[in-house]
Amino acid sequence: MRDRISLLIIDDDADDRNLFLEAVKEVDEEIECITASDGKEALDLLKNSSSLPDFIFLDLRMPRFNGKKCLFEIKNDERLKSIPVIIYTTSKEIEESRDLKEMGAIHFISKPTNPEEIYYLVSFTLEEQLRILPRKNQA
Amino acid sequence: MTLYIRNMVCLRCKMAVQSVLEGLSIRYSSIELGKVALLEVLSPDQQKKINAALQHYKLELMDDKRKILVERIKILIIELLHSPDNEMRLKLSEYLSKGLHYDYTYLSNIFSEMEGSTIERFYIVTRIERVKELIVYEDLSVTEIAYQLNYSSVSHLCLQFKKVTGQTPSMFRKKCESGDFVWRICE
Repeated sequence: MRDRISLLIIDDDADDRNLFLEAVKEVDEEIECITASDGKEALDLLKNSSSLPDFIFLDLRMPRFNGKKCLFEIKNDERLKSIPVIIYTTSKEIEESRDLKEMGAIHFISKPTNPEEIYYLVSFTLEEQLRILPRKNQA
Repeated sequence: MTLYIRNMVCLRCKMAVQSVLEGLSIRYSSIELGKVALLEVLSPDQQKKINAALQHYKLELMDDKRKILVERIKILIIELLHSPDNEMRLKLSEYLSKGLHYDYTYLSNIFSEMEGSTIERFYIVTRIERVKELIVYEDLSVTEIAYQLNYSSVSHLCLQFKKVTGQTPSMFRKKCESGDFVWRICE
């Protein structure tokens, strides 16, 4: 039996964060969500927290401390680097998605413009990641 | 010569294509979902005749490469949902990239541009249709279906079913049993 799933959503856009949170709750009300509005806030939160999230959803385009920089910091921190990071963005650049995967992101998804689509994207992505968790725990 | 056909989703579609080809005396070597291998090269007039005949079954010939790619994505997903459990354990992005030899981001972009919605949405909706099939035709329990279709949990299946169809799997099963039910696949 696995513990309650938790995830961190890092996005500077409050509307997008809320849509994302609503979608997560529709997928599973038990999932614990923490949010941060940029990479700096997220890193402070992660470094000062005793428990770590099971996944991170990270927006790429953010002012001040962007998603790429945040991913780099996470993947170069011994304590944080094993947390799966899923990048979501409005960018459709294939090269960029390859770079981010090489940096350690496990998945790269295009942020939908239609709020209805966010549910499907979150539902699909979370479910695919949740399927992997029990097998990891057994290892 | 290979023909690419839009909207083929099941065995009945294959039978429809077979009947069209045989009706027009066109020789073929194989009929798969979305794809027919012919033993001859067709004239433009023959292609028109095939297309007209296919339209009776709500099928159509495709010649746009991007449309063909979108259709191949859909067919791979349909095949995945009918495949043995071990294939279902692959990540969808890896399965599609491997099957079509394209980067997933490229496939995802093309699909969204052409369809106005995402691959993930198509996958979820098609998987729910497969859940319906397994309830109606195989009379499987929700637990068995969750296992067969590799859902992360039974509750995830139920929540997703409710979101997509507006009813729970048990409500759907009861409607089927009472005959108050209209099948939506292959309309």
